[in-house]
Amino acid sequence: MKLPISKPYLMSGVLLLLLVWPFLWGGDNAYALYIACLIGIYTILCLGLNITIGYTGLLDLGFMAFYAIGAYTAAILSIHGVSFWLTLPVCVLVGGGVRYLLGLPVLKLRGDYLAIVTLAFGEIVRLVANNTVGLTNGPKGLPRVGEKISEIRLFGWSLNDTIHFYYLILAFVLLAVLVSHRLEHSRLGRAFVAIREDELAAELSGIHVARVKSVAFVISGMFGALAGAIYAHWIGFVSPEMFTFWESVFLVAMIVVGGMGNIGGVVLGVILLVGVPEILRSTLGAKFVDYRMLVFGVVMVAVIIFRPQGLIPSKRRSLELHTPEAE
Amino acid sequence: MKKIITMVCVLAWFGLGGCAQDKPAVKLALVVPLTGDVAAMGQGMKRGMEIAVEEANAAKLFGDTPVEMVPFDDRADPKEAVSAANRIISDKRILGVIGHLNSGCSIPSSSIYAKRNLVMISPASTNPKLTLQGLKNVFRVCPTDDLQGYFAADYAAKVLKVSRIAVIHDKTAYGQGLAESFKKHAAEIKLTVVSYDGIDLGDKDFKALLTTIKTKSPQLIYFGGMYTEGGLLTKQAKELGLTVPHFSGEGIYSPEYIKIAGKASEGDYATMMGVALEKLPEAKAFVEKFKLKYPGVDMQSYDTYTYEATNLLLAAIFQAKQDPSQIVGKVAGMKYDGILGQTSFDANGDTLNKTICIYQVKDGKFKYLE
Repeated sequence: MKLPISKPYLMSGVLLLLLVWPFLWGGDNAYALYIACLIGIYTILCLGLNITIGYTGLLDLGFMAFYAIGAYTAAILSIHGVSFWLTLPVCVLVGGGVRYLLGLPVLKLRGDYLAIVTLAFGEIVRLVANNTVGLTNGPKGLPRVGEKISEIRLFGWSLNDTIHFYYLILAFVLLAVLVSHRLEHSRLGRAFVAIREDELAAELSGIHVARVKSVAFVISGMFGALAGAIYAHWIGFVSPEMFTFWESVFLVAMIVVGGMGNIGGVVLGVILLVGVPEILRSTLGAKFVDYRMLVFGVVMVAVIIFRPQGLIPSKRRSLELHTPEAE
Repeated sequence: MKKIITMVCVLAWFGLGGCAQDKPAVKLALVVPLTGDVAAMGQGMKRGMEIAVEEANAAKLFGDTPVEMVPFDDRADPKEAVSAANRIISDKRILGVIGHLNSGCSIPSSSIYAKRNLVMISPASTNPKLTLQGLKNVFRVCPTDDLQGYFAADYAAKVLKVSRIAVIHDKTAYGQGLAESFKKHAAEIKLTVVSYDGIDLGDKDFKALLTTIKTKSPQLIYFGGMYTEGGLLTKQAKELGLTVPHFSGEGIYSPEYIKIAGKASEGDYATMMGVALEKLPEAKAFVEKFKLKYPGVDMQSYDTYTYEATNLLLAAIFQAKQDPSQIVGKVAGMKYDGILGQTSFDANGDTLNKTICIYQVKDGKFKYLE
């Protein structure tokens, strides 16, 4: 596909649109802003998951665990008055650290087995959060009665409105996109893809498979924890029911629908999967509200039937897929 | 070709979003899980509200302006709940919110409603934190868990005259809350809690746990949780020869409990909040209307609370002459006589209606005791 304008112009156009977008709505539409923020959070999560599933081909069905770890770490630190700007790197390090430890035994597994173990880890994290009452306040969630997650302060202002969070999340999404993009085109990124395509061949070409896999795993865990930390500060409440297995599956679905291994595709998948249920909320009306998730499922099935490689497939991947229909 | 079809479909979705029609109406939002694991509870709440709205319209409460219920689905997922909450506050004609079911959804959403000072009445969220956030717009018609556990412990000691009790809970905010308050008050009135255990939601076999409990020879088993696990617990306990009665909160007050446990449920006790439905004529009328409108459908735990909350909210809107800025104040000052007895709120927004009644299973039905 050839674009009518050159890529840098297109990118700056999109960026400009994102910056002024809240004002186009009149700055009053809390709902639209909330959905935009939610899309932003999911974008960070999916870009992180994309590093393992999309680039390296490691199927991870428990990614929400790292989102939860980030959110809980942030909530616990923040309740004790630690500033957001200090909390954030700690969360990212904790997320990455746990991910590294998980990777030590788990990365020896391949394919379906890895998926099952990560799935189990996701459940374990949720159950630990539910049962260690002393640390996480169990099912009642954090903060406890009388405690508060401290506000984010930046150059003397405190961020407390959705619009502030919109810009904060936008900044982190841009950072995540940038990191993903640079990573994809780096030596390391190519090593990821080589492992996805053929582990044995990659090893023979001089790639340290175990180490590279571990790096991919850790970086994606850091993305997850980052998203969790921002979410905890934004919503101001964390409870175990936010991190169910369904959420992890939802993330994988976003990547698959959008296009594995392609940043644009991942973003589109997030917009579609977060957006469609919300659009359905307004369109289905009172009578069909019960069927919202059913219609959502039908839309997803339709996408998979019409475009099995995702809406925007990865360039490298589309070269491998031999579909009769030309792109 | 396929591309064009996809494009048309996507455009149609977006296009449909624009054509919502507007008529003057008193709009009330209902936000409960209409799909997902606890959908049965949410659907029951929707039925309770439907009856209240229908009655208001039949009585022409606001003259020719109809009352309209706008249901939202939060899937018991906090993210969906906050998203629905934001959707609600961007519709300026919604005058009040009934919801949510789960405390995990109610707490983050309540601060969203507070931005527009939109009144929110929860019929079912029992986490004490909800009303202790300092938000003026938040109310609930169900009391916190502390009260029921306290009352149950008292009843066990004074009326049932037992002294050795085993406590089990389902590790949810609701079940554990009940069990904790029961245990706390039991210690105060010198009852012996012989064991205190948590089970996991969705488990089916509790025989290992019950066998251990049996060795401690309790005279009563107190369970904090819902009917599915509660029913299985009482059934399996009696199969093991542990024939002591079980005692729970309103979470087991559902015909499902008796269906699951069968004969084993005979003699089990449950606490319910509010005045017994059998005692008040208004409540009898509600039960009959429910049977007429939804034949063959069993009432769930929170249907009556939702009906009550809706009526209370409508009364407040009526008193405030539909002026959005007045409604919160009117709800706070309300003394409402309904099917749960008289409901009014303390400074935090918690109900002052602290009547509790006890039911016992007799001949396959919950019978009112006192």
